[in-house]
Amino acid sequence: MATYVERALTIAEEDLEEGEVAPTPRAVQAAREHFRQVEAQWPAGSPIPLPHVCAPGDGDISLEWAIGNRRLFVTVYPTGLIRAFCAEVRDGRAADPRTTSDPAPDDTVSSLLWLAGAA
Amino acid sequence: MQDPDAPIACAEIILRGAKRKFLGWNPACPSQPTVLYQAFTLRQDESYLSVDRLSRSTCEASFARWPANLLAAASLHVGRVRDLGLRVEPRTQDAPDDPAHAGIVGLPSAHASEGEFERAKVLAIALCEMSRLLALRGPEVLSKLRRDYDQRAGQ
Repeated sequence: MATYVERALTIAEEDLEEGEVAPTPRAVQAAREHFRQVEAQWPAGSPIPLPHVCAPGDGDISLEWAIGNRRLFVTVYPTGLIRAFCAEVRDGRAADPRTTSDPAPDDTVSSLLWLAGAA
Repeated sequence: MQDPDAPIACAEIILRGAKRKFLGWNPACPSQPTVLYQAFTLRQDESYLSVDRLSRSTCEASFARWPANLLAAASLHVGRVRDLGLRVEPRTQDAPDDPAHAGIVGLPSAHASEGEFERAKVLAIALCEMSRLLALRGPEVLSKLRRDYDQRAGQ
């Protein structure tokens, strides 16, 4: 997963336009370290759900997962702060939204297992 | 000639342009790209989400006016956007060459507090889920997205 995120980030940076700020080194480092640990803690034998990764242009990194009716969004801010949001989609709206600031890698593993449970 | 600043009726349809980076690929539905939720989140320097009124434009005309990096147009129903507590207003003063320019106003910044971040994501889900991918800028967009997806996956 860490390799996937790295590769996706390289591609995402190619999409940056004039006036947009590339993910800061602190954001990249925080994402790299967080997902390296998530990968290390992921239960062996089951595939890790892969996100859409993009560089919105404010020095941040956005990761989105959508499986079934479950959604997980992770934002890595220019400072390296990470925020995670997960919710189910019911009738086109977010139900039971939960936000975690600075999630530990095992929090993200739990969120990804919850997400994968929708498959 | 239509008044560009005429109030927007709830029955109107608006178009949200999506950049390539805000388009994804759903492996379960390989014939159709998807608009990412991030396309409905404000950037730090934005105070509203830019849209075009379909009553004042067409997909082709909007693509012709929009920057070349906007590759897809997603449609939204104004009344349903307002049901979320957001406003949809003409914003032609910000884009004098675009008589269809309007804005979805009232979205929080995802760069602010944890509460504002959560509200921004809740609204992004609602907006994205109610949107429909109406048109792509050209047929080559599909293969470009497919290539990006394969590249990310290392295929």
